[in-house]
Amino acid sequence: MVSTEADDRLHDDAQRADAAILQRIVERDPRGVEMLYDRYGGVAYALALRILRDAGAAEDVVQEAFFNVWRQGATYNTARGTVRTWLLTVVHHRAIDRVRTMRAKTRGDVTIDAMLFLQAKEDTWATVSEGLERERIQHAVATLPPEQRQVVEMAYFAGLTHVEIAERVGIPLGTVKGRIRLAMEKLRDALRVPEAHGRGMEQT
Amino acid sequence: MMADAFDQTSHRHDDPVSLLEAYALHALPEADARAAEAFLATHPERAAEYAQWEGTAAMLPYLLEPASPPPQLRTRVLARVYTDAIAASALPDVDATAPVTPVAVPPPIALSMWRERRTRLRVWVQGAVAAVLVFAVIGLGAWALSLQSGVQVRDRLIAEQGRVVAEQGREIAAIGATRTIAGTQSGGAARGQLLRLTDPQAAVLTISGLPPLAQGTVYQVWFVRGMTPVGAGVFAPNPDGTWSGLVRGDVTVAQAVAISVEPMGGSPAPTGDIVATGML
Repeated sequence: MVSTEADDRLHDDAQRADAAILQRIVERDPRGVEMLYDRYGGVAYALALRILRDAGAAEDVVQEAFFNVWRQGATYNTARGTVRTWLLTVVHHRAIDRVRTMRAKTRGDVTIDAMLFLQAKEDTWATVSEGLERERIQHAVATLPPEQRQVVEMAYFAGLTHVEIAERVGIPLGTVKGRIRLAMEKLRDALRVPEAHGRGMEQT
Repeated sequence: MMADAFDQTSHRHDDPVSLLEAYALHALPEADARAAEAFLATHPERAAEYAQWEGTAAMLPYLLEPASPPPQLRTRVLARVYTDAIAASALPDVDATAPVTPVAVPPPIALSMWRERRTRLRVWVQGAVAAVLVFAVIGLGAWALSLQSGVQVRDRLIAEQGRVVAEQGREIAAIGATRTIAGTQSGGAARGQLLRLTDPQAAVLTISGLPPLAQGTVYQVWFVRGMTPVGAGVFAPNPDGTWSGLVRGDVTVAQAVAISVEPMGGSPAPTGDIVATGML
């Protein structure tokens, strides 16, 4: 996918809309949360559901995440980054923490075969183009070598630590770390993730 | 493979900087995660770099197929936030310039006009109540036909809400206290919910599908008690026909809620078309 001026404009518009939402939340206007939900509730729920594989648990996590954003909004430094990153980071952390707790209690395991993208077929990438961000990220991930994509997806969606990934894939830990690093660098460059001005957005 | 050329040593000897990408993916064991956190806390010059990793990780959910959250999730999220906002007095409210409290003393009018108005009002209220009953019957019928799983989901939601109440140490309106609002013939596709809060003088209205308003008009919310509609505030919906916010009035004594089209600023008593109704 070649970035066009139209794509850039859409991207800029999305950033401005996010900034306006964040400003409302910072100013303690609950309608900001409503706008945030309408914009990102779907992707937040999809993420929680993918990690937890339980609709009730996913709803809990999403609700907690939005409330967390609302509560933290009063003291949030808008220079830290986009509200989307903030929200999805909170959702991700809470979902992963919950799934790890459940796994520890039940001694459950994650089977690699059960994962979503490891057997990604060609048409997976062809059938999706709903929105600019979706298209951009899917294109960027599709260009990663399969072994790099694998470790990123195992970490992000299955909640496996890099040590656990090394054990399951049967490769040295250093290799896992190297693949994660390379993959993240490529994704960052491909997605043109802007620099923020301050601490990251992990306020879970 | 270039990645395989990376060091094969134990991660315990890593420079914390090399852990930041994995930390952003939440992929570090607990000890390493604490080390990364401590490193970031003491190296603010690395914050912008880390924010980029975090921003990159936050793109990954877009790999997933879109999912539609259940409608009640939106209500749960907003109920919790609005309840908190009420507690903190950061209220997005109905139009503050509108009559948001019951009209205790009606403006003086001629007797003939009063009779005419009373008749019109009675017709309006009867119409509103009838519409509410029709929608209630339809709603109950649809509900009765729903699968048992629907009941289980509702029970689960109520149970979950109870847990949330316990966790937060505050009472939040249970999902069972949500009342459905449906569009009338004039309101068409309008659908919404009224969520009762622990504050009996307020409720959260969320509605969508409202028809566009003619210039100089607003929507006015009414709590109907017996034959008496009491104004609960006016609002202008968003361009897409949605609106959410607080409405004011004693929810505990009202039997129904209705939304009508009124002149800008609202009316002391309803005059325009009823676009949506719901039984409380």
